[in-house]
Amino acid sequence: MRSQDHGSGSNTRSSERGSSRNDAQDGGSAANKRVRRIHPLAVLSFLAIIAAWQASSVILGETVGYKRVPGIEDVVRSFIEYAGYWQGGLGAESTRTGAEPTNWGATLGLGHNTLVTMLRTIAGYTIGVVTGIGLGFLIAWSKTARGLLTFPAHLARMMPLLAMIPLFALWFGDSQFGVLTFIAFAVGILLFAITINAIGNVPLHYWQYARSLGASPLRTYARVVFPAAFPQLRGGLLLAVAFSWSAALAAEFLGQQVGLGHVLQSALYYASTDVVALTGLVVIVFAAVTYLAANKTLAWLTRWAE
Amino acid sequence: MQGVDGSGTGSPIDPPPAIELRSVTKTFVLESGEELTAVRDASLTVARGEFVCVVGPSGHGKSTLLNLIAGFIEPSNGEIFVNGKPVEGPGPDRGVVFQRDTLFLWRRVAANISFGLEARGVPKQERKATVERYLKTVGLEDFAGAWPRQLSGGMRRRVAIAAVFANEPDVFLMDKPFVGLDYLRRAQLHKVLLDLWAEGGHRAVFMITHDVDEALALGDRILVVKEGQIVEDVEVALPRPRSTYMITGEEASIIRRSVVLHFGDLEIA
Ligand SMILES: Nc1ncnc2c1ncn2[C@@H]1O[C@H](COP(=O)(O)OP(=O)(O)OP(=O)(O)O)[C@@H](O)[C@H]1O
Ligand SMILES: [Mg+2]
Repeated sequence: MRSQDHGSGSNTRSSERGSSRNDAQDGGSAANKRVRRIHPLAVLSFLAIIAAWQASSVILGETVGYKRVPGIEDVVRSFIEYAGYWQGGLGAESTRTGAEPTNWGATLGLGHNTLVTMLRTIAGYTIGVVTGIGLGFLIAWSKTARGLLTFPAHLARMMPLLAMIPLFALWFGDSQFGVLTFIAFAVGILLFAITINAIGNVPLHYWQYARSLGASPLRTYARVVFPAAFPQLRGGLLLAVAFSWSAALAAEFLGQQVGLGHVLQSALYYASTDVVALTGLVVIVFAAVTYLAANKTLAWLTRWAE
Repeated sequence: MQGVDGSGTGSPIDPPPAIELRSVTKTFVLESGEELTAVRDASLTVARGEFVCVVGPSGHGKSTLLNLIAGFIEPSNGEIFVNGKPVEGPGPDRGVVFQRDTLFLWRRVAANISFGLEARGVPKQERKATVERYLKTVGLEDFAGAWPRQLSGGMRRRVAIAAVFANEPDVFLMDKPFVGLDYLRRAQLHKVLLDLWAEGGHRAVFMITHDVDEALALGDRILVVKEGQIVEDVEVALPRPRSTYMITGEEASIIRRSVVLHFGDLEIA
């Protein structure tokens, strides 16, 4: 923390003003800077992982007709298999019609499946965040809602998420809606619990102060309690990004015809560990991108916080 | 104010007092099940425009008294009226400056000051003018766009006070608003407070302080609260503006003595 973040009592007026200008420009970016700079040891550990991977692929090798650990080269080469996940169009015919797999077809296959999963993740995340936080506030707001929702919410939290996929599949079949509901459920349950806790931590003074300035209870909730609780939701909102990717993949794995989860499922069926590895890498990259985007957005939204 | 059940004193045409307490008692039930009477049979009348300072030992019911008037808690017994109307919960007719910092950290300084105005539906143009005026009075016109975290402790206090005054309540309730500030900064804020008070016209102030000198510098009256009761109510008949010289003079000394002796004849050295 730089000392100028808190204009100290002994500062002169002009220096206080100066610091306020500086802070206004780069306020809240300290966290981002930390992300951007890459530590030399991080490079080292990255190289170590690659080396260990390659070594284990050589040692474990091919055993029972499939590669337990695919080599890096295998993984790169497996890219072409994505052509099999493209249903045709945009100048690349589907391999299912007997066409030869092409790099362009593979690009389209990878792009399409990634896009579908990404959109599902983002949509499910958004629905989950809104309903989870919304229900949390509803419970804080109304005694009736508290009485009605607390017990089922606790039950839902205890249930192992993965075990609920079949249930969601039964309810919604293999519909788009089922996937979104499942992701939203996973995210919503998490944020619901965090929201209730965060609201409980908002000092009573804020409530009293706002009410004595003439704010209605509703306005006080929307304009005071919510923003006051928001920084505490930050950790949960970030955690939920990773959560929603897992939930999306798991739901797709069990009952979808497109999406990276579906790719994983059929690659496993054919024991194509190289495709599994490649898909895993793709997921890591996109999950990391959404995580960093969420982190940056949240840092900006809470730039006022001390 | 005919028909209003609370204009107890004075003739029907007289405006009701700013604050009126009639035999107010507040008993808390503690977690252990024990009862604790924090305010005991307190009666009080504060006229419009009057500046009342409240002193007394720690834990003897000052804040409880203020919370009752603010409507944050309900009396166990007795009645409270503000401008002749019974108090039912907090409201914009009573502005509260807390000892604890209550600035909205997610709102810039100007937006903090306009919060109450927005809540009461004051039109934007008028809001802007009011905010500018109060920022100027507290000397923070250059910080309208700053976040609260960028301000020093004294500046934050000024924002807090301006935010409450800008809302133009009839009664100001302040709980040790200047604690933790050095002597000079406090003197500056006293000046700001008195300017705002003078500017506001008929606005009553009910201010808790632990500092008898502060009470002498600011108050028209000093109340001493001890064991939940108002045990002393003394007028400070010093002219305004008051100087250090005046509040250390002979007249002030007599008042100080009558106040301080309620704390007991302490061995202080
Ligand atoms: N909400 C509450 N629940 C239970 N007891 C309370 C509550 N608020 C205050 N009290 C008790 O009431 C008594 C009076 O407290 P109060 O805060 O009014 O004192 P005070 O005069 O403001 O003290 P200080 O000068 O230290 O602020 C204390 O014994 C306190 O513990
Ligand atoms: Mg107190």
